[in-house]
Amino acid sequence: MLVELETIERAQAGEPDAFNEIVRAYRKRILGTIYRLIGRSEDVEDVSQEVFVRLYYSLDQLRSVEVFEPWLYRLTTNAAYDYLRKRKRGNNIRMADLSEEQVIAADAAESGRRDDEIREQTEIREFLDVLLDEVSEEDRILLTLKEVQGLSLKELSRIYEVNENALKVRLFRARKRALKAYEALKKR
Amino acid sequence: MNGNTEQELDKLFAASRDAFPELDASPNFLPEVWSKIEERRAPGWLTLIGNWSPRLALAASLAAAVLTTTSAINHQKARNMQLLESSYIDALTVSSLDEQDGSQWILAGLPR
Repeated sequence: MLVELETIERAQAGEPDAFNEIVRAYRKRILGTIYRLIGRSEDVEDVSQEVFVRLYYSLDQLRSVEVFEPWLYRLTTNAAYDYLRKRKRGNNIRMADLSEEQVIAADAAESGRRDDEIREQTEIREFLDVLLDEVSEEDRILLTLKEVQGLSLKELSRIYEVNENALKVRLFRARKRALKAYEALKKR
Repeated sequence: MNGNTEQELDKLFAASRDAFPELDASPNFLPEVWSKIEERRAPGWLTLIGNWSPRLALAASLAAAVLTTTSAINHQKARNMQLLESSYIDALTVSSLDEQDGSQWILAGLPR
């Protein structure tokens, strides 16, 4: 826990200072998770803010402050899920669809730095984004939390509120679909 | 699908773990969260109804219970009245039969 249980209780009671403390403590973690889940830095802050807005309006539904973190993760994955669904419906241009020069130019504009390591990392992120765009949002989120974020089965089972065996089955199927998408992408 | 593809996917996932640089929130992060909270806040009258909704629900339940009880009592009263009326008519019939003489009584029961 990044905050005291008492802080969560105070936030539940409607104290703005306690809520601010929670946002300050968790914003970096949420930004990181959202970044991995949606794969696009330009929308990370907006989706992360949405997580905290949802947290504010749902704090009174939190049964026990001990389960605050899985609860917050659930809000995070739900916000990412909604964003991904909206994005899929829209006509967003993927970075990987752009030419290499455009990607480099975009990177340069974004970070002002350009070296091989950054470029390689960008390519990995973009490829992962393209790959995971080929599977469902549910598969994408589950695979990202497990394989990229590195959450354990135990942590995932607390977030998803299902037992570990059920999760293993879901993960196996999601991975199979990702493998199929990976092979198809390689053939292109 | 072969083992190579699986290994490549694993490598991609492993590489992805380090491919996401840590992001810092902008200085406006928290104020923007609050302005979004305010934007989404329901209007005053809606909040008032929301706050009063448990009490309104309780009042509605009580009113429903009172109406049901009253209706049940009225129904029971009506049934009792019906029973009373029918027993009164029965009693009248019996007494009028008692007043009639035996022959009439016997004749009334004979086939014509």
